[in-house]
Amino acid sequence: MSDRKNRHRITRRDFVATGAAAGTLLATGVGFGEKSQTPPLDLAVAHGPDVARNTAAVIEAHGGIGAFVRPGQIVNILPNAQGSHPGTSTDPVLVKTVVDLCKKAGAREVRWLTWQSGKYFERSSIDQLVKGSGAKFIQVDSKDESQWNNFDVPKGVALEKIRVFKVLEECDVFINMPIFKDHIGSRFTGSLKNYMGASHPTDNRLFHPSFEGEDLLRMEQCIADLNTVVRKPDLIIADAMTILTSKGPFGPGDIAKPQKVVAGIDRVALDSYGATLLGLEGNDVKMIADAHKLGLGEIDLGKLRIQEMEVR
Amino acid sequence: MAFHLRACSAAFILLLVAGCSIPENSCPSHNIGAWSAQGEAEVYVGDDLFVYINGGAEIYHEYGFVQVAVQRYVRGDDSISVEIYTMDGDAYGIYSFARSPSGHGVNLGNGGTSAEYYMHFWSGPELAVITAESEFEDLGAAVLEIGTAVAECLQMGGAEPDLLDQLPIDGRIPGSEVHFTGRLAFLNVARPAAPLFNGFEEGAAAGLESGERAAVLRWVDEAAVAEALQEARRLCEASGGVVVEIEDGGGVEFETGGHRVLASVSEDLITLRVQKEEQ
Repeated sequence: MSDRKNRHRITRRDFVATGAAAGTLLATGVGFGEKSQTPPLDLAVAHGPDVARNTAAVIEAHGGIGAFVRPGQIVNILPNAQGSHPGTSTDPVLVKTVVDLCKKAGAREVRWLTWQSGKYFERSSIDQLVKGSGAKFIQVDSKDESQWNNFDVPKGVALEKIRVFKVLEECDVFINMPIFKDHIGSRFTGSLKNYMGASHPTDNRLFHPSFEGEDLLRMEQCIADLNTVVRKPDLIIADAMTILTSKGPFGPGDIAKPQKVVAGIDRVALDSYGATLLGLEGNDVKMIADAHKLGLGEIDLGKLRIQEMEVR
Repeated sequence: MAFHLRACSAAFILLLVAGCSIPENSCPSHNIGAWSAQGEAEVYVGDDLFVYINGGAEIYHEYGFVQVAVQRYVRGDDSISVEIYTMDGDAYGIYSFARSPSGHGVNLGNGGTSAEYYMHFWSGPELAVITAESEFEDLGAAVLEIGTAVAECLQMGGAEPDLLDQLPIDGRIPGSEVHFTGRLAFLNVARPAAPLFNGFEEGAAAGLESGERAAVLRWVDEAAVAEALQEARRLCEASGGVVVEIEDGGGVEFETGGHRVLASVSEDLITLRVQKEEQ
């Protein structure tokens, strides 16, 4: 796992300088597995037209894939596979880049997790996405209770129990891989909500049983509550290359092209940053604010160490 | 082909998502100009929509979803998806919700809207969604070409809801009108007001050039309106908001979550004016 705590802390200004250096290193072809002297940071943000280079850059900024994945380890990934409308699914090149890096670091297996049905993944565009990733596809049966953990949610405000597939825990490294985009219920979806891809679909539907009165915004509290019991991410790599900014999460709708990939470990920080790409602040999105109140991360971008990089 | 199409729709309903090849005489045809249908069409009925849409399917159910037929058309590396949603009544509501508010009108079906890379139009109980899945040079023309072919296949009939006439005309942004009967749509079109007002039969909303949003909600009768307004007062105050009664029957102002919502009553209607969020 990550050796973040062994790295020293530096100032925000230093990060800008190291960001430029990371971009240069990529451009000159330094290997990703090599140990970086880059100190810890909260968020690495790579901006550029090439999603693969952006992805490699944000991982390198966090110390390289070797800081997260060791030889022989099992890596679980959770991309968002929504469909073929632009800006709705985690970019397949991003997914493949991460899988390739994990394998290069010696991962024994990289596993793509989902509870979605075979029919969903038979759709040509998503099937191509999965097959092209190089990951082993793990499809959890939502009807087989033995494949699910039934968690109590002691810190839950709205949620008392939730089922999460067991395989999420059965790994050495977990990498959450959302795409930032609009959502019809919460106005934004990213790292926090992507965990609904690991919680039981029947339970997910109960997040918003009626949309009546106080139930209207219950889903967002439930998502924050869910995040108090699921396996924490060892790394989050979020797609912000082409994103849906209206009519999400399925679209079609307006799209923006921030041409960014964002990486970090703090789910709230990731989403607070991601919300700005849709013209919102973290506190505008109840789900993010609720998660912050539950102590799941930092919502104030001013308190975060963020490294922005131009990657060409 | 699955799109409620004359030749194949009945078979699709029987086969559900089993798929169906496009017969030579189907509508739209297998080939539209240089575009060809790829593989088998898919049909998702009822709760199977959750298989097709991973997140966000609730809004289609709120509008009375019956089934969706999906087919991809390809031309070399370019692809366009066609979705035809069938609702249990007129599809104007889901059309008005799903279309791009910044698009421009197209004369297909009973009305359509075209945006950067996609198009919506409706006729009778059906909503057609045409989406370019990749970027290519003649994208707009290609979406229109396929949309035009699909429009020939939709059921006829339907009319825009009368409630739209209750929205203010002055300062209304054309094409921003949304009709709804459920609360998820209400949340999306008038978010600050949505937690306060419950139990309405139908609603309509539109954007205003001032940056505000106007909404009209209809209840079953005047007594239900009075009850809903009283409940809104309670919900606002319970959430830490402020309720201000405007003199001479001018309505009620709700200050909630940093927003102001002005409500006025007329018979079985409550008209809302929702301040824009950044104010």
